[in-house]
Amino acid sequence: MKCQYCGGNLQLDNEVCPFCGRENTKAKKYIDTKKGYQKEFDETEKKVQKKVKLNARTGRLLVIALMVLIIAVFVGINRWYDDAENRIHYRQEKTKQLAEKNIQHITETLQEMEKNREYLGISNLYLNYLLSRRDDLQEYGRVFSAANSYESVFEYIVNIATGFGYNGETSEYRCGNIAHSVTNWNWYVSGEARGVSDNDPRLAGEHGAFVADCKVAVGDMVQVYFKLTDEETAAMWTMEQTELAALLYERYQSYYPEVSANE
Amino acid sequence: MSKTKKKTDPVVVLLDLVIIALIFVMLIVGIEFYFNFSYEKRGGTFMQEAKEMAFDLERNNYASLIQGAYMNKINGKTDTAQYHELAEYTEAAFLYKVYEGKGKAAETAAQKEIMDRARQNMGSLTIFADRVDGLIRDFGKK
Repeated sequence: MKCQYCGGNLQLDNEVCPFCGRENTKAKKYIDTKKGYQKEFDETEKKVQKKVKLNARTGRLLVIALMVLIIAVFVGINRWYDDAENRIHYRQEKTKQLAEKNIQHITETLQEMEKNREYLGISNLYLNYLLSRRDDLQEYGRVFSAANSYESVFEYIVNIATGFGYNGETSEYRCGNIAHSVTNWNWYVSGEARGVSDNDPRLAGEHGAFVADCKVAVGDMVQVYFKLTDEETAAMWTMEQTELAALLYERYQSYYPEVSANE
Repeated sequence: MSKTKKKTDPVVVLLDLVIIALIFVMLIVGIEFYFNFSYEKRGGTFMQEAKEMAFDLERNNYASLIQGAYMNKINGKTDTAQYHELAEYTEAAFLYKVYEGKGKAAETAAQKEIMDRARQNMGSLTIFADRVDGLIRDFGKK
C-alpha cells in the first residue's frame, strides 16, 4: 500500500510511515486486531503453562500416593507374615481346609496304610493334614501316636547311621531321644497319659493290632541297630530312660568305634 | 507470536526423585512379598523341591529326604520322582537290615525287591544309592 501523505510504499504492519513519519491509518485496524490477538495468545499461553504445571504436579502426587498405598499394603502383609503365630495360624487354617476338601481320600488312604502297616506313611499323612485336630478321626488317636513314635525312632537311627549332624546333635543325644520314645511308649502311645484303657475303642480291632505291630517294629529296629539281646529288647520298654539311653550309647560306641570316635 | 523458553519446574523434579526412590522401595517390599507368597502357594509346607532334596543328599540327611518324598507324594508333586525312588530305596535298605537281622526271610526279600525296583527308576541318583548301601545296610559290619 501507499502512504496517503507522501506516497511511499508501506507494509501492512507499519504503524507509521517510515518515510514521512505520519500515522498509517489504513493499517491501524489490522494492527489493533493483531495486538488484540497477540495479547489473547499471551494470556492463553500463560494459562496453559500454569495448568500444565499444575497437572504435572498433581499427576505425580497421585502416582506417589498410589505407590505409598501399595507399599503400605505390602509392608502390612509382610509384617503380619513375620509374626510366627500368624503364620502358624494361617497354615493351620489352610491345612484344615485342605483336609476337609480331601477327607474321603484321606480316610481311604489311612485305612489302606493301617492295613499295610505303613508306619512312616501314616505319620507323614497325619503331619501333612494335622489329623489330630479332626474329631471324625479320633479313633485313630493311638495309631497316630504309634506311627509318630516309630518315625521318631527311625529318624534318629537313620541320622546315627548316616552320620548326619544337625545343629550339633551327637549320637549320645540321639540315643537319649530313642530311649525317650521307647520307655515312654506305654505312657504316650498306649495312652496311659490320657487315661486310655485296654478296652478303649482306639485300641480295638485293627487299631490295636497296628499299635502292637508298630511296637514290635520299633523293638526290632532298636535291637538290630544297637545289637541288643532278646532279653534286653523285651526289658527296654519298662527301663528308666537314662538307663536305656546309657545302654544304647554304650552299644553304639562298642560296635561302631570308628564312627563314634569321629564325633 | 513469541516463543518462551520452557522452564523446568523444581517441584516436578523433586517429585520425580521421590517416585524413583519409591520404585526401589516397592521392589524391595514386593520381592519379600513374592517370596512369602510363593512359599505359601506351594501348598503343604513340608513339600520339598528338587534343589532342597539335592541339598539333603549333600549333607547325608536321608531322614529329611524320606520325609520330603512322603510329603511330596501325599500332595501329588511328581517332578521329584527320582528323589522319591531314592528315598524308597533308603527306607527299604534300612528295613532290609532290620528284617535280615531278625531272620524274617519274606520281609527281607520284599525289601530287596523294593530296592531293586527303585534303583532301576532313580536315574543318575544311583551313586547315592551306593552311598546308602555303605552307610545303612553295611553299618556296623567290619
